Amino acid sequence: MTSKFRTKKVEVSYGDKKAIRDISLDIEKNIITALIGPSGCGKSTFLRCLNRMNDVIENCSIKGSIHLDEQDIYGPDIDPVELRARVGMVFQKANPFPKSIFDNIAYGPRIHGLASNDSELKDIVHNSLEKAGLMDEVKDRLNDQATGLSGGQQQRICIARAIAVSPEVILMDEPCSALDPIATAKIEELMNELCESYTIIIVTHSMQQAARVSKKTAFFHLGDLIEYNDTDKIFTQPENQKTQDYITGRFG
Amino acid sequence: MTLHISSAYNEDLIYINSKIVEMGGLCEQIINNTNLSIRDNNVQLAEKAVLLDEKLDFLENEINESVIKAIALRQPVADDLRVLFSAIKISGAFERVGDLCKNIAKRTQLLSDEYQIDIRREIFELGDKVKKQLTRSINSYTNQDIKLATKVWKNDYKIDQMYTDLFENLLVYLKKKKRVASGSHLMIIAKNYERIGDHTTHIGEMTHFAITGENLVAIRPKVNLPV
Repeated sequence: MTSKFRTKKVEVSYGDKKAIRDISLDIEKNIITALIGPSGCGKSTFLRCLNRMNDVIENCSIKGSIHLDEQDIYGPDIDPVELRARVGMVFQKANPFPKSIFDNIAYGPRIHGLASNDSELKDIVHNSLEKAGLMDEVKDRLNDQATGLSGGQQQRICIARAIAVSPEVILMDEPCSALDPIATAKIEELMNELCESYTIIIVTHSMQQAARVSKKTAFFHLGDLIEYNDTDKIFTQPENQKTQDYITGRFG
Repeated sequence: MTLHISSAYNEDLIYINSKIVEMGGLCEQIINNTNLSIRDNNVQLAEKAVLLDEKLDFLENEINESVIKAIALRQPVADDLRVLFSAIKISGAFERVGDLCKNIAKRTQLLSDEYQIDIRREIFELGDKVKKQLTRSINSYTNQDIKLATKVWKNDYKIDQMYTDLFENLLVYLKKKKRVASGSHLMIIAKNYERIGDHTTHIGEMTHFAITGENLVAIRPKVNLPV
């Protein structure tokens, strides 16, 4: 197993309140890892540590260490903007820019200077849409507003936008919670294809989604990492009673 | 065990469990009737065993339908999934036990004119041993007793040993008495008991799996069966 992320004793506090504590977790490369747990358990907080999205939150302090490959992402030589290009993110609610489909995808490559001319930029946009499984659906309307697409398509635009800057990791924070089952299935199938090239970490409230898409699952509860194991093991024979109670719907 | 937030889910699981227990109780009744019908040459008890088997088939269908419904509606995982999977396997084993008992009972009816079969006692003893093993497997399920489930699984060789000895004796009986028809029935009756023993072992295995998530795979005592 090759680790993409290695986290050691990570603790995040918002002011005096500890959101997560003592999280030591190795995230395997090129697989999908699911983070599950009830609301407020710290799974999204942990996810946001991985590309320093918590930096922008006032009063948020982080202890412990997080390494991406061998690099300490909280080290002094790390530019958070560059880090977020390496570790892209897709949010719960699709949030395309109020721009054309083309410009949405081209936005990242433009600001990171990834294309030296228009032809290269076009290639990146087409490639990203292709990888996001959207090209056939939008090829004749690349200049249309992205906000005019369906919810599922908008979410795949956001995935294409993340892919366009050639990330190594894609973080997904409940990416399907606002989508219907068909759009959800398309995103899940896309995730399955993408994990050959990217490491994917998904936060989800859907047990079935975690079971369907991920190879590893981490269960968080009240800021602690309770259990981290192969997904099939977690869903057939969890080791911890709390995990069992949660995934079977026994938490009152 | 903590209850599910969904009371309907709890009720589904309790219902399925109660049907398994009901099947177990019926199986004990059937095998008891079958055993006594052999020992005492009692045709009425054999008939009763045949009739009771129908109830088992009905209950197995009820369990299958309830489990399928629970899987479709509740998407069970972890211990719930194991319990439901085991429910299907255990009810299937009970149904097979019923079929085998019915077969024994029917053969007993055919042997009813043969008052002088001196080997009845030995066959009854095998049946009684199997009945005790069946009761232990049912108890391991109802009490969620891993130790007892493992014991049932380990002790199958004792039934196999009894069957092997009985088989030898039946061969002698056949040769000596030249009663091919009754001898053949007795051979099949003995084999059916041995098969019931296998099903009780399976109930022990499935009970163990439902509780622990582990399959019983370690080496256990075995007997080389004649057939």
